[in-house]
Amino acid sequence: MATRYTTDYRQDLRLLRTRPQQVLALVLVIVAIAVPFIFTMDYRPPMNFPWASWLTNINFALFAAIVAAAFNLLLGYTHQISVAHAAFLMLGTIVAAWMGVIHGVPFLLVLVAATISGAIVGAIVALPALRFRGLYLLVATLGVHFIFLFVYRVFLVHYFGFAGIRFERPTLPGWLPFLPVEEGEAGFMIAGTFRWYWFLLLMAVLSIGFMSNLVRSREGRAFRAIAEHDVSASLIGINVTKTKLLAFSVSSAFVSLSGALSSYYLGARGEDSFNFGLVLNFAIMIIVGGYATMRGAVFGAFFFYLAPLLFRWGTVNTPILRDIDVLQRYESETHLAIFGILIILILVLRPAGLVGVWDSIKNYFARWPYTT
Amino acid sequence: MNPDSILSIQDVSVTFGGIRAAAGVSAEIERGELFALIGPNGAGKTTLVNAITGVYEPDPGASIRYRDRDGKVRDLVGRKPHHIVRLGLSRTFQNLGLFPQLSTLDNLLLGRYTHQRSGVLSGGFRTRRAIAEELEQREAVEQVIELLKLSEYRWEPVGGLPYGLQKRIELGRVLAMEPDLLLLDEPMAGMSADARLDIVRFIFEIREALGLTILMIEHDMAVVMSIADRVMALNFGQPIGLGTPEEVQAIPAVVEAYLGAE
Ligand SMILES: Nc1ncnc2c1ncn2[C@@H]1O[C@H](COP(=O)(O)OP(=O)(O)O)[C@@H](O)[C@H]1O
Ligand SMILES: [Mg+2]
Repeated sequence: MATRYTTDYRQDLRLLRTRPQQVLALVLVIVAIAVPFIFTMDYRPPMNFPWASWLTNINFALFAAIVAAAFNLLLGYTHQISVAHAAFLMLGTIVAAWMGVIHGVPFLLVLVAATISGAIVGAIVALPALRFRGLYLLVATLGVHFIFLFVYRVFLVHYFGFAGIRFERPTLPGWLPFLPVEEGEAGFMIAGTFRWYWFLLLMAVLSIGFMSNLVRSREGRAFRAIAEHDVSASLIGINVTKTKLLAFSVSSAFVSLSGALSSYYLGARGEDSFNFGLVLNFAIMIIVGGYATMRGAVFGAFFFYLAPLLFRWGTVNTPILRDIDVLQRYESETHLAIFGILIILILVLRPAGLVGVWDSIKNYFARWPYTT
Repeated sequence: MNPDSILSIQDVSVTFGGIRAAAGVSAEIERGELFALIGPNGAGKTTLVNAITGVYEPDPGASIRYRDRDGKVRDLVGRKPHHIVRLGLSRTFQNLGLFPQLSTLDNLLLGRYTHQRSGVLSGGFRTRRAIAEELEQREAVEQVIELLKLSEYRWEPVGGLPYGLQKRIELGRVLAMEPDLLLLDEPMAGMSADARLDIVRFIFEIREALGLTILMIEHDMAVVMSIADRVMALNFGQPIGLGTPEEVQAIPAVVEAYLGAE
C-alpha cells in the first residue's frame, strides 16, 4: 500500500477522506434518495421480476443493519461473544409496549427510553457475564436470552393475553422541521413502506454513524485494544472490565432501539417473535458482510434481506430451473441452500466478506486508469 | 522509603505453584537513574516487573512503593495495572504488547489513552471537544513518530511489520504515555547489532531529554556497562549483586551465574 502523506490531521479524522470515498458516498446518497421512489412506482418489470417487495425488504435490512452494527461492535471490535441480542430486541419491544401501547407515551420518547433502557440493562447484564471469557461467555449470554424470554412471555400474557401486542402507527409531532404535515393533522403518521423507509434510513444513519465515530475515538480504540491483548491494554491504563461493560452497554442500547422500532414497523409482536435463530441471522450478516467493519454490517444486512428476493425470482422464472420439480416443491429449503452456498463462496473467495469485494472495486477505481 | 527514590521494593517474592520466581527482592530506584536488571533466563526479571506493574500479586509481606510526581508515596501492592499505570509508570513487554491488527498510529494513540477524557458519548457524537482532544493527541504522537522514524508505517497494521520495528513502536507507545518511570523488558531482544545500537542511543537520548527514570532488563553486558548507572543481578529469583556496573561485574556469583548460563 502506498504511503499516504498528510499534512492536516483534522482531515484524517473525517469519515470520508479521499476523493473516491467522497464520490462513492455521493452516489450512495443519490441511490438512497431514489430507491423509495423507484420501488413505489407502479411498474411491472418483465419476467415477473419482483418489484413491490423490494422496499419492504430494504426496510427490514435497515433495522437489521442497526442490530448487525451493534453486534459487530461487540463481537467484531471488542471480541466479546454474546448471543443475548434477541434478548435486547425483546427488551426494546417490552419498553415500547409498556410505555407506548399501555401508557400512550409519544413515539420518539419511547425510542429514547428503549435506547437508554438497553444501555442500562446491558451494563447490568454484562456485570456478571463479563467474569467469563470465550465460549463460557457465550453460554452465560445464552442464559440471559432464556431469562429475557421468560420475562417477555410473562409480560405478554399478563398485559396482552395470548393475542399478542398490537402497536398503533406511530406519529411524529407536527412541530418537527421538514415534515410534510397535512392540513388539520396534529402530526405526521409513519405508515406504509414509503414513509417508514425515510424514518428507518434516518435512524440507521444516526445509529451506525454514532458507532462508526465511536470506534474511531478514544473508547473505540480501547475496545479494539482489549480485543487483541487485554493485559497489554490494562498496562496502558485501560480499565478492561469497565471498557467491556461499555461495549456491552452501547451495543445493547442500539439493539433495544431496533427492537422498539421493528415492533412498531411490524405492528404486532407475539409469543414466538424472538426465537434464538435471530441471533444466528445477525452473525451471518456480520461474517458475510465483513467482520469488524461498520460497512460490513450494512452490506451483510442488505445481502441477507435482498438476496432471497432474487433466489425466489430465479428459481420460479428461469427456464431450466423452473422445470426442476424438487426445487419448486422444497422452495424455502432451496433458498436456504442457495444462501448457504453463497455464504461459503463469499467466505472462500473473500475472507474479508463483502467489504473485501467492495474494497477491491473501490481500489480499482481509485487507481484507474493505472489499473494493475 | 528513601526521599530520593521513585520506587522502593522490599521483600518481593512471587510464587507459582512450587516455583519461587522471585525470592525476597529488595531495591530502591532513584529518581532519574537508569537501573539495569540482569540475570540468566528464568532468573525472575520479568516476574519482578510484573509484580511492580500489578500483573502478578506478590506474596504477602511484600512492599512496593512509588513516589509520584507530586511527591506523594503510593503503595502499589494490590492495585490493578490500570491504576498503577495512571500514577506514571509504564512498561514494555519482552514478547511485545502491541495490538497487531491496529495501525502504528492507533497503537501509539492508545498510549495517550490516560491523557484523554472523552468517553463513549462525546466520541460517538464527535463533539467539538472530542475532536480537539483527538487532534492534540495526534500532534503528540506525531512527535514520537518523527523521533523514532516511524512515519512510513503510520497506517500499517503493526502485526505485519518486522519484529525489530515492532519493538521500536512499542517503545514509542510507552514514550507517548509520558511516564515518569519507564520499565523496559529486554527492549533490544531479537534485533540486529545496528538496530540495537539505535535503541541504545535512543534510550540515552530520551533519558537526557525527558529526565525519565528507567528500569531496564537487559542481557547484553556490554550495553548494561555502557549506559546503566546501577545494576542488580538476579539468579533463581534471588538478588546476587547490586551496585555500579563495575562492582556487580566483579562479584563472583554474578560471573558464575553468567558463565553457568551461557
Ligand atoms: N505465569 C507464570 N506461571 C508459572 N510460572 C511462571 C510464570 N511466569 C514466570 N514463571 C516462572 O518463573 C521463573 C522466572 O521467569 P521470568 O520472570 O520470566 O524470568 P526472566 O524474565 O528472568 O527470564 C521461570 O522459572 C518461569 O518459568
Ligand atoms: Mg524475561
